[in-house]
Amino acid sequence: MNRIAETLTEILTNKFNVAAEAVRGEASFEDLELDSLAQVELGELINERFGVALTDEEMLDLNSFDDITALIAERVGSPR
Amino acid sequence: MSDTAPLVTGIGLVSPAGIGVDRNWQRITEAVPATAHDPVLAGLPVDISCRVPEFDPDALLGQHRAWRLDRYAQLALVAAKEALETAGVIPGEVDPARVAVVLGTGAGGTTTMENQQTALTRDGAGAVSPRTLPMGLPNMASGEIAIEFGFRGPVLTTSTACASGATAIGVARDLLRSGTVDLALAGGTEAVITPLFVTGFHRIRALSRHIHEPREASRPFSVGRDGFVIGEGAGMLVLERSEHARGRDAPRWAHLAGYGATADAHHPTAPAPDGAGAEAAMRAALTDADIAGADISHVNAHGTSTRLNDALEADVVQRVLGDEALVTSTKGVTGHTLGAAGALEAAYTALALQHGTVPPTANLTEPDPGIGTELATTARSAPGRAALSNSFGFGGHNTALVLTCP
Repeated sequence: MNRIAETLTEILTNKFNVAAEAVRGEASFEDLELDSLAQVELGELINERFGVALTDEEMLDLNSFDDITALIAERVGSPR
Repeated sequence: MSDTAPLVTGIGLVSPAGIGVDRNWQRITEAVPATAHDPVLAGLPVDISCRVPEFDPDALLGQHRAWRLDRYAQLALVAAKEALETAGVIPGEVDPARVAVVLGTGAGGTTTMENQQTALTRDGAGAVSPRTLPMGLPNMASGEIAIEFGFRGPVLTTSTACASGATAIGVARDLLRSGTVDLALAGGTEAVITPLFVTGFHRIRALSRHIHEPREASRPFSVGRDGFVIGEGAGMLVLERSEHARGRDAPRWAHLAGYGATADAHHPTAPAPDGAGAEAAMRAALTDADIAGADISHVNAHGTSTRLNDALEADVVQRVLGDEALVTSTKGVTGHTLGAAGALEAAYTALALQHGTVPPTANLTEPDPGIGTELATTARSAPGRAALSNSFGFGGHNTALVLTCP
C-alpha cells in the first residue's frame, strides 16, 4: 500500500470509525458507510493532510477508495 | 419536605477542579484554585483562566466521535457518560421515549464559529468546514447526547447566560413532575475561553485583573475582589421520578426539592440594586420545596467574585435566610464556568449534603467586612438536611435550586 493509501486508511479508520477490513481498493462510499456530509468532511481532511483542495463536487463524483487515492496522487504530483 | 420530589441518582463532573466526581470533590473541599495563565489569551489585558486539566477528548470519547464535536459538546458528553454510570443507568435498559435531555449553555459552539469566521475571512468559502453548523449550533450538545445514548424524549437546550445549567435542571424537574418523562439527563456546559469572549467580558469590566497572582484572582466575598475568572466545564445530573428510581433500586444522592426562577427586568448585565428578583427566586424555591429558610444548612452562592454580585447576593441571602445562613462559593476554585456553573454547583451542593461537609470558599482569608452572612472560610461540618444553590445570569435571570437529603 502506498503512502497515500496508508494515510487515507488511517483517516477512514480513526476519524470515521470505518473497520480496517472494509477499506479495499474497490470499496465505494456506500461500502465505507460515508454519507454525503462525511464525503465533504473527508475532502476537508484530505486538504489538511495532503494540501490538496478537492471541491465538494469532485468528492461527491468519486466512486471508490482507488478513485480517491488516484485523484490525490494526480494532484500532489509524484506518488511514492 | 417531600419524598416524592425527583431524585438526583447520578452525577457527572468535568470542571477546572478535574474530571470525575471524586476528583472534583477533593479539589473543591481542599479549596485549590485552578486559575492559571492561559497561552490562548497571551497578549490580552486579561490572560488568566480556569481550564479543565488534562482533558483528552480523543482518549475519552474516541477520535471518530471527538473531532466532530465542539469542545462544549465534548465536555458535556464526558459528563453525561459519568452521570449515567454513577446512576447505574444502562441506556438500552430504560424506555428511551421516557428520557429527556435538558442542557444549558450560554454560548454553544462559539469557538467553532469564531474559527470558521476566521477561515472564511482569510481563505474564502472553500476553507469553511462542513462541520461548522453541526459543531457550532447551541443545541448540538444536547442533540449529540441523545444520539450517543439513543434517548428520544424531549431534548432541549436552555440559555439563560450564567444561570443556564440551573435553568436546565429546573426545566427537567418540571418534565419529571408533569409525568412527561421518568428520567432526565440535565445540566450545563460551556467552553468559550477564546480571545473574543474574554475580551468581551473584559470590556464590560467583569473580569478580575489580578493577573500577577492568578491563583488569588477568583476570591468570592473577599476584600479586594475585582471580578471573575473565566472557566470552562460541564456538569450533568441524572434526575429521576422517585417511583422510577425506587423501582430499579437506584443510587440516591439527593432530592431536587425546589426550583424558583424569576427575572429582574432591569438591566442587561447589572443586577437590580434591590435584589428583589433574586430574593423572589430564592423564596419561590423554598416554597416549592415546602421548607423554611431556617432549615437551609448552607447556600452554594452564585458568588462570582465581582464586587456587585457578591455584596448584593449576600444581602439577599441574609434577608431570606437570616443572619445564621452559612454561605460558600466554589467559584474560588473553579472560576466562573458560565453556563455550566449552575449545574456544577447543584452537584457540589448534593455532594455537600451527602458528605455533611460545606466546602470552603477559596482565597477567603479576609472576608469583605460589608458582608453580614456567615461565610465558609474553611470546610465546615454541616449536619443539615437541606441546602440551596443560586445562579444568576446576564439578562437578569435568577434561579434557585433547593436540594435535600434523600
